[in-house]
Amino acid sequence: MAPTNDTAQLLAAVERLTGDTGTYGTHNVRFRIDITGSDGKPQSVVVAVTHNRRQPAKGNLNDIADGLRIPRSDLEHMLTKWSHDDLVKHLQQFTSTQLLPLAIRRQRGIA
Amino acid sequence: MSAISSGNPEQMPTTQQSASRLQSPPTEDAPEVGVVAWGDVVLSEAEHYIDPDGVHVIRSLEFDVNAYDEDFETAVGMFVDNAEDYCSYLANLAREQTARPHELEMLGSLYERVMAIRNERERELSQDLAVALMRKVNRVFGRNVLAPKWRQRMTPPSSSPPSSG
Repeated sequence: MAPTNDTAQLLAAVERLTGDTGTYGTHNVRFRIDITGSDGKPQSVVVAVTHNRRQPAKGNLNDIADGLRIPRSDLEHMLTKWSHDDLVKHLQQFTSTQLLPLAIRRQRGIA
Repeated sequence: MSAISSGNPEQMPTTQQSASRLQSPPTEDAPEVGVVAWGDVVLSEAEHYIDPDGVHVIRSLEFDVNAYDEDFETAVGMFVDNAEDYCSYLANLAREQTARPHELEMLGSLYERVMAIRNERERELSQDLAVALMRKVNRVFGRNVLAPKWRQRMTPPSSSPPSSG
């Protein structure tokens, strides 16, 4: 089953891509990846996967794609085909400011 | 701005707000903007919309916190849990000195609000428990046992003056 249709597969794919075993919360698992942005500054990108659903919510998938700065339509390809190094290389194209969480970028007027 | 409330049912969104939600369900392109609150304590400004899969999405406009569920009230409750978990997550990063500046910034404002929510929850819970207990006791005794009462002193006051030492 595709990771976008099965939470267990999604958790495994995000763990593999981020290289983080994740931090479990009541409803979700947070995965963190440390990056050096294109401006040379360190940054961390965190994505959360809801673990208590059999099938991931579309909103959760969209937020994961947005968090990893990939088009939403490419998420399934990324989850199944990309390696950890592919994700690191992809995220390193962005500045540390561009890698901030959406809420922070919105507050600062840069989203 | 509407209240996307949690906790006490008296704090739920007003009828007018609920009616407007029924007329035109909020979408990601046209979300409903409000606050997630417990009683009078605001946890976060947030946007709410319903995805095509029928799931309610609540997304914080201040913190990296979201919640998703088919039931709106459940999603609101999950949002509060996720915010508390995120606060603990950030606190651990700060302890390990691995938090980024924006994470320390979020921890600063989120911690205060999470503690205020916890205090409000505990206050509501103890109030609810006290009321429930009082009702049960009054039902058993058939009168208002726990109401304040005047009691006459049973022993006569001592004639000797109070000792100085």
